[in-house]
Amino acid sequence: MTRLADLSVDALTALLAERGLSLDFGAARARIRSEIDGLAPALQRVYGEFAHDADGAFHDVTVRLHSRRGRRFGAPRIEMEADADVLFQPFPSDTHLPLLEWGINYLLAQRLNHRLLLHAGVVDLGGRAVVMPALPGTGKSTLTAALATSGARLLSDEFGVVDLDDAMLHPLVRPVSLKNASIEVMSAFAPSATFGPRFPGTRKGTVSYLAPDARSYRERHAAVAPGLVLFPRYEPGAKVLVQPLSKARAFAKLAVNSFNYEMLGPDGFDAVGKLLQASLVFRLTYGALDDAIEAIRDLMSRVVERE
Amino acid sequence: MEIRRRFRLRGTGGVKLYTFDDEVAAFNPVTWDTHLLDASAALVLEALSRGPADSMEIDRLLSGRPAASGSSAAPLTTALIDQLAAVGLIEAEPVDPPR
Repeated sequence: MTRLADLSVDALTALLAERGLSLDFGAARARIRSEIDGLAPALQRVYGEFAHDADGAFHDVTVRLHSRRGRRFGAPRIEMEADADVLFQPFPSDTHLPLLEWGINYLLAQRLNHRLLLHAGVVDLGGRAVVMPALPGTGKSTLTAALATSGARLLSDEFGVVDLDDAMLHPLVRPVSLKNASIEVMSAFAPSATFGPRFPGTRKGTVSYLAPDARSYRERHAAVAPGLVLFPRYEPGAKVLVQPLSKARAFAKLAVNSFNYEMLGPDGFDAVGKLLQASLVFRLTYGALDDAIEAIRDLMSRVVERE
Repeated sequence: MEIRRRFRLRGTGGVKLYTFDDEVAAFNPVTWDTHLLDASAALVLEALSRGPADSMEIDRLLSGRPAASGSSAAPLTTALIDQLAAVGLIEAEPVDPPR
């Protein structure tokens, strides 16, 4: 199948305007329609390794971006529509990609209830998952991006998709969201990686996206067994610090960091329990990405030794 | 004559437990709440999963020794039973009215 990066902008623009671009993230599919100028090249940049999934019959999410109608004065605005509902207040027309990504996040968080959804970055490091649940602003996405550009396979920077039966982690491969200072940090850390355009002045500040690599996309249907659960925290200038965390405490933190734990009831409880039984659990404080990655590799070697 | 009340787990589905070292995550099948408990509480829940017990039997279980006849349960045991009942994980069995 043709990579989006290899399509012409005109062809992708036409696809978005007519039939819609169908993307397979692994654990979910989305159909995207758009009539917004500038979205096609941005998508080509951050979803470059993805192919249009022409055979995709079912989509978890179907969205359409369009100009806000009936507006005669002021800066042009765009809206996102899903199932005939308009999501969010209108965005400035030059922030099409953040609107699309946040809208898809919002919808996936509501709809993927056949699995436990953690708010977490997840990578596959040597055949075992590193699950990094964290609140916004703790450096979760930056650390996920750093791992994904250092040989780990990206599963997601936003969703830990946990199987209810066996606690395997399912990929939901999409661009990694980077904000403000982390954009420069990652650009310096991984200069050869592919980054999307920058979107200044959004409600989250300046936003950019790291494109998933070819392997992460290719293996988007390959679930991975749990290995590490890490609660990361970035502190400027801090030396790397790894602290054990009791699994009972981690249980509470995972439940709080989940989008649908309460909705799933006993199934969610079992999924968290199985995930923690199969994992080593730590707090990780770091001030430098290289140090954090070295510490995570060391922790993962303990997981392997345990088996 | 003092009537010893017997306690049982709430709900027919049973309390789900995951034990991690000396702590336990417990799922209440009635309220769908999750509780973090210590090992003593887990011991009580596991015992009640095998059938109802009164406070003296629970006391014996926790202390690991036989209770003196006619004595009452230790204050810590009573407090633990009260706490587990307060969060809805266990309940007292109904007492039959005197005939």
